[in-house]
Amino acid sequence: MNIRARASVPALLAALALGLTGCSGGGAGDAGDTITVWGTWDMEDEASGMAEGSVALREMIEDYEAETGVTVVYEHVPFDQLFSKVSLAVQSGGDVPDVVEVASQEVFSRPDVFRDITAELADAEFVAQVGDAERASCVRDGVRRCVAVNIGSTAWYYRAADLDGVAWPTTDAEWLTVGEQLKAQGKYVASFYAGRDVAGVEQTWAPLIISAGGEIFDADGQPAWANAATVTVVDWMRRLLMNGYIPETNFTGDFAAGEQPFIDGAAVGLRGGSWSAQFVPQLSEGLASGEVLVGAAPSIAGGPGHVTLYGQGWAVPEGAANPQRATEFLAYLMTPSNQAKWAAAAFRIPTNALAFEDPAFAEVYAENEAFYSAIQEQADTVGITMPTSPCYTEGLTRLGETLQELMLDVEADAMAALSSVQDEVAGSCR
Amino acid sequence: MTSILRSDVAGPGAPRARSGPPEGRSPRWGWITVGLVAPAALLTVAVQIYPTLYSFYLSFGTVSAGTVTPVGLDNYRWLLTSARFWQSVAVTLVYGVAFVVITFVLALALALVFNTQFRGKAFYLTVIFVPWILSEITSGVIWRWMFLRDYGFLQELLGPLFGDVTVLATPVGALAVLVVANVWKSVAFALLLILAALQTISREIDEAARLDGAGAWRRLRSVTLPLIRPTLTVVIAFMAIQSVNAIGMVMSVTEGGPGSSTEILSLFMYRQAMDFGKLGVGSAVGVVMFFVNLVFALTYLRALNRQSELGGR
Repeated sequence: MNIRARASVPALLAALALGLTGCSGGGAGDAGDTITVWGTWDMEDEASGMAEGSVALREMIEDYEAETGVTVVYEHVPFDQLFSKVSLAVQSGGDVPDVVEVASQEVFSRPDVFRDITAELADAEFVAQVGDAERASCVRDGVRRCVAVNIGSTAWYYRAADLDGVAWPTTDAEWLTVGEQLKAQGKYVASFYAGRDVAGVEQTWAPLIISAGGEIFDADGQPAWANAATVTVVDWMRRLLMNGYIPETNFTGDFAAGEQPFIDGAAVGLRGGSWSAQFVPQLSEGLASGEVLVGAAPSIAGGPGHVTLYGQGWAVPEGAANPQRATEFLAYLMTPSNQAKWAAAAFRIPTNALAFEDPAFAEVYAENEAFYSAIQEQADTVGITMPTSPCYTEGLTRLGETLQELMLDVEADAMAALSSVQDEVAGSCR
Repeated sequence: MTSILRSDVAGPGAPRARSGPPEGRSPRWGWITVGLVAPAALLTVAVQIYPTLYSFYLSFGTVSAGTVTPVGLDNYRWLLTSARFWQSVAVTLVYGVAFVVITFVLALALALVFNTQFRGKAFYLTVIFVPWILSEITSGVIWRWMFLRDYGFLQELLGPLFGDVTVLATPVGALAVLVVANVWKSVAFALLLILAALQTISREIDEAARLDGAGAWRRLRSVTLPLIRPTLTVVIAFMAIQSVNAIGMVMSVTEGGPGSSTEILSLFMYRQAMDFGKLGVGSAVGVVMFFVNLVFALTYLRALNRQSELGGR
């Protein structure tokens, strides 16, 4: 049965009612002249760290409307609700927007929700200008389902002066040694967010597990986290926690709680993202003055330390009323000048190589060269993108919960718990 | 089954209410009745009966791109074999029993106190009612903040009892905070119902028991409680329904954590349907909850009828 067909009955009645009462939707023109956009940027925000990015997007939309005559109806949706809202809207056949902002790794976890836009954008100029990171984010098996206007990356920061002559730890063993030294000074090695949700796994646990030689999902997208590498990472984290080298709030708090010890000076390092300078004032000031540096990600069991890459993706949901205008809007967002504006406002790395030459970004890049070059180098050399899986959200949510339980109950058998939740998710992953 | 609309509720001596149409005007009276009832009936069908039946339908399928594909009993089979589902059932039971028992005992004790005269009674009653008028999310955020690490004053107070870790990061602590927060919010309503029932008891009955030599405990056990038993059943059934459906407070205080230790059934349903996109499984959980609620609702209605019968004597 088609839910949309059922939903159209009340819609038809409403339309008839409007017709009978002589109402008509004048002013907006036909549907071809309007697109609806759902994004995480709050256009009324003038105070938070995202405000500059919001202003940049608003200006882009205004310019687009002036250039094309298309009306853009923008709706702000909180970042932690957007993906589930659009997924549910598409799944249930409800009203869906024409364009939606979506983290690139989520796009391929629900290919039924986002349109294949390969053909529509095949001749767009940006396709030949973007780098591998953009394609890795939005193109899988030759199918493009989004465009990534910039790339963000998780990043480890530290205050060099607080290390007191010791080098930033780069291996699991060094973390334990440096942790002990800093503990004697009443400081934590680092604070970070490793909470019980998708982001906690993507940003903290997954790079460590992959560094140790493990995996989260196998090649078929089935859960595969119950492996020796994950147990190694759990054991290492438990030692850091039990010895007091890292704060408990890394696992039990929210994003802000993961940043607070660094802000307070209680932690020398912070695992944030390339975007963190937007939200942590001490970080942007420290990076500008050279007091804060970008450090290497921890290497576990001899493997390379990894950072997680995110494409700031924009996609067209299935069922969009105006897909042609939507893909035109995506191409517009990908122009070098727009990417430059946005990256300059929000500490991101443009995906279009020509954007680096645009004065809007070149100036900001020059002012923060140490930061941008370090982030870019890590993204190029040790950056990983999250694997695709049909049970991506459920899998990472359940894995995050289990990892939190293992950190709070250090006696629990890690392999048994990981296997149990892996089997359960595999059983429901259909 | 007796109904609260019975015409003899007002007492045996009261005139019987006219239950049929006026003589000689029945056809027209019938259409007027239909016309008056129709809007409410249509609304009930649209927002209650249809969605409920549709949930039953969805529970036997999977939903993708607006299309429902039948899967028979697969969703229910998966539920029966899911350790996570049974864990949610267990958490709901523990949470529900603790919430109902504590709310009931506290509300009864407070009602007995407020059934006497003392200075500042209206003020204290108002204070107890403040949490009840707050939204669940507001209440939840208040409780969450009180247990924030390094900032929450209750965390500072109770943290040492939990080995100096964040109270909300321990399964027992998190569940206890949830129960206490919900009791704090709900006790006023239970108190109101019980107090209203207590005030219907004639002073003479209590006085007669006292003259017969019954002490306070004996009068409570043998006189007061039996007389307000229907109301107490209503309160228990109402609180039980509330505990099965509780979700706002859980989402705002613990979000089901730590791990999944406070993921009650309603939150399990929400996450299956909304976060994981499994509308069929979510609907199957909804159907299970519907039948659990139905048991409590029937108990509630039966107690209401009993109460009205007693009220009519």
